[in-house]
Amino acid sequence: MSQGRKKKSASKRRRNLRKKAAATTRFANWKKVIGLILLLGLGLTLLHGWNLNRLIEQRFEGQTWAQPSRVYARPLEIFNGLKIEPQQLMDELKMADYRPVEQVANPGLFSYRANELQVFLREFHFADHYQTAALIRIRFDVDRIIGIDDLSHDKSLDFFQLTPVQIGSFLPGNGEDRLVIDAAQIPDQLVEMLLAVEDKRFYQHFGVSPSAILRALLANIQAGKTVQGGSTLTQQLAKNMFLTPQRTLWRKFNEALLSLMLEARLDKRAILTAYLNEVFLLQHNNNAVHGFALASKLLFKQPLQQLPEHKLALLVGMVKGPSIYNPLVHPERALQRRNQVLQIMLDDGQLDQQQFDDLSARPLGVVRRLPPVNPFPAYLDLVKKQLKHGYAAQDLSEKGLRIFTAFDPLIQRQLEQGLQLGLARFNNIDIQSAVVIADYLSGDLLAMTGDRDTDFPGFNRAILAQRPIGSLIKPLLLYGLLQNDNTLASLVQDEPIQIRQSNQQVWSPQNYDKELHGEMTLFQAFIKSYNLPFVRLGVADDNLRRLTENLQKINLLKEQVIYPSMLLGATLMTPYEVAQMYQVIANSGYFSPLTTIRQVLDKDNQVLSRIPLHSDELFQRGPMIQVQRSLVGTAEEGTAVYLKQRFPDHNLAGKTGTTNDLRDSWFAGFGNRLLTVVWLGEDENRPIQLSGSAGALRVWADIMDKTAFESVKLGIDPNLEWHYVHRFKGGKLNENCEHAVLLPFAQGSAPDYRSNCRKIYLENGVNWLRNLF
Amino acid sequence: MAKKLVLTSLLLGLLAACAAPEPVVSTRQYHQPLPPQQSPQKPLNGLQLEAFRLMNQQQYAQSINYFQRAIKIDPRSPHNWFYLALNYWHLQDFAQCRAMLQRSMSYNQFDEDLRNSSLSLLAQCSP
Repeated sequence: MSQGRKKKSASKRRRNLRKKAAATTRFANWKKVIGLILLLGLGLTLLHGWNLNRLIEQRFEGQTWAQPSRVYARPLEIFNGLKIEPQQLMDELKMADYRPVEQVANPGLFSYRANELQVFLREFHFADHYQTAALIRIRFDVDRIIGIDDLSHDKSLDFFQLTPVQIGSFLPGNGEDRLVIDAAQIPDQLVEMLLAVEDKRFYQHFGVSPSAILRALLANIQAGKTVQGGSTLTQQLAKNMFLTPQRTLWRKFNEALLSLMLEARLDKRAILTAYLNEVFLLQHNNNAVHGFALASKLLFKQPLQQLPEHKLALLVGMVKGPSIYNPLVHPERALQRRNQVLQIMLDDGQLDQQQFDDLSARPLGVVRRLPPVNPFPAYLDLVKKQLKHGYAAQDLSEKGLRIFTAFDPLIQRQLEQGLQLGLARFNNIDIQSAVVIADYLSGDLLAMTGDRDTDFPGFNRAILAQRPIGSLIKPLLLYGLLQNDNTLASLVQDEPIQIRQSNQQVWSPQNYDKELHGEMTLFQAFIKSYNLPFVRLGVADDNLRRLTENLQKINLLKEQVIYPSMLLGATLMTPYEVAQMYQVIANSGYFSPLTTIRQVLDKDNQVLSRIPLHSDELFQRGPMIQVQRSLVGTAEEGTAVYLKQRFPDHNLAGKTGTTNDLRDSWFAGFGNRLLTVVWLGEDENRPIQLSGSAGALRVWADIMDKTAFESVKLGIDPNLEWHYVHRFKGGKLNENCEHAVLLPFAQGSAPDYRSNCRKIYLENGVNWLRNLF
Repeated sequence: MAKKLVLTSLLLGLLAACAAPEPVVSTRQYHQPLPPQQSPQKPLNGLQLEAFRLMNQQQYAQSINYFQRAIKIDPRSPHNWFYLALNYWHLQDFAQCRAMLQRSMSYNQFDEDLRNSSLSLLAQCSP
């Protein structure tokens, strides 16, 4: 080999070596880059995985679901001797989701025949005791309970509390409503059905099922569209709990990752329980119903544990498409889907042919329509307002609190029926209304409406509409006058008066009828609601200041400046506040704040707060009983004499109120325990052309007519003495004299003179003679 | 402690006495309302018995619940209010004790023994 060739060859080798070296370096660089990318990817994946893991941790540690708070009515106290018609008790049971049947076999059912009502109570945690499920027999004598037997425990009872009606919920911001159940409450049949339909290999896979995905892929390719899903129950749970429903590869990746993690963290039973609580099943107005337990309660009025197979099959079938298979909207589709589920059970050998034929022939068995989401918006509104003093808004909607109230669903129903009848009198849909009913002896707020459409959840006039109250102020003014050396027999003058006000304007009040009526007793002026005597007395002797002090005692003084027109009710109040004022009057001076809430329990039934009976003697009993007597007079022979005509066998007490130009029509009245305030008016504050007597009083009577009201019982005060006096002249009289009226007086304050007596029978005799001619 | 027992026994004795029938109230014509009369005393019912049992077991808060339930049924019974006050006295909630006693006395028209016991308890509920 020549030297030259050798050199060439060496140089070629060197070049090749250099090329190889460069290529090796380039390859090594690429490897580094790829390695770095992989490392970065792994790091990001781990970071993402850690993040997802944290999500799972956050969700399953502590409270998994935001649980709405439930609000309950008062539990009806059932005891021997209770006066209640069987129909009323059955109405209450129906409102509490008990179902009438022929034969009572399970909790939640009742039957009635031959004066005997059998009810199978559901278990229930009350604030002070736990009621086990028990079959109870109640015997009636017409409208009175004469015997109570616990047939489950073979003993007679003196009393028990009925499961209270749930009157509403406070839902979390996402609008999800659910009843959370634990693993022990899940029916085995439900699990079998769900797995047969949704995930046959649930106990074999580890969160993701490659064979199911492959099978679904092939089926979808064959069909040319999506006909089958390959998601396991765990994947569905992961998607529902943590992801959006968007169909992207990234979401699928996350779903798979989350499923693996869920399986690693939770056992199969916990995953199943979570799924049954999480899955969306129904839309209930604006609320999304999640979980089988609440869907069962709403659709079947039965607890999940009591559902027969065909109803379980319907719920399982609805998982595939809650809207498409909604049994209330698409009953035929729902029926078809339910029978598909039953067919799968038949194919799997879990049902035999006879069972299948029987179950698939049954109707859906769902309710005709879902109950209203918020049937008592005015009352619930006040509950929320009163709760906000002690509880954060988030706690109310997410902590699963159980709130027991004083709400009486029977009285609420009677109120609504009476109100509709009453408003129909006026043939004017612009007239708005608000009504408050309370037990004035306990301070329990029993029922309330804030709109003429009682289930309309809008502006709640009962607690928000501040309106002048007109003559409704007079009882408190009368109380002040009686404190100040006046008696009901004191003589007053119904004569004109002019008052120069602080702004130098002259105020010239008038009577409602624009007439003058001369001299009369204070009692007579009150029952006829004459303005002039009250203004004359009110502006004298510091009586206006006394009125404002009395208003302040019950936190109802809002005005900074005191002005004489307050004597005629220019002060503004809501119907709820008026009810508070009359509560004190009806309860002989004992103040009990009108309360909706009685107890609040947490989700584990521990008592968080309890509102005890409250009673504060803020006013003197004697003068207040004299006011009560005057209110009875108003209903007997004064501006509310309509009550005497309509309910001749009852003694009632009350006061009408009318404001300028007939803009507001009020009536506040009471019988034995029920205090009811009715307001009528327009939101635009236009005249409604109704006085208190022509408007609110009539509606009040229509409402009372629906309730089992009783005659008023005046308070007791041994320091009062009762005398017949002349209603115009104020002197003592005998019972049978014309214009004699029986009135209470503080000891030693009765009139010390007698008025001339004109015997009633003489007057009657004269009239009889006159009638003859 | 002995004082409490004596007081409780005295009051339970009173309760037994309070089941006596009330005077019959005559009826009058509707338009002339009577001076008020106390409603006839109702026989002890199961709720009250349960409330007494709890009070004797010194479960005063629970006893209060049951007396409150009894009051919801018969709110004008001076005895229910009195025993409610007594429970509050045991719990040393003297403000509530006084308030409940005032209500008891406001409904008590005829029972001198109960009135005397109320006055005695009122003295102990005063700060």
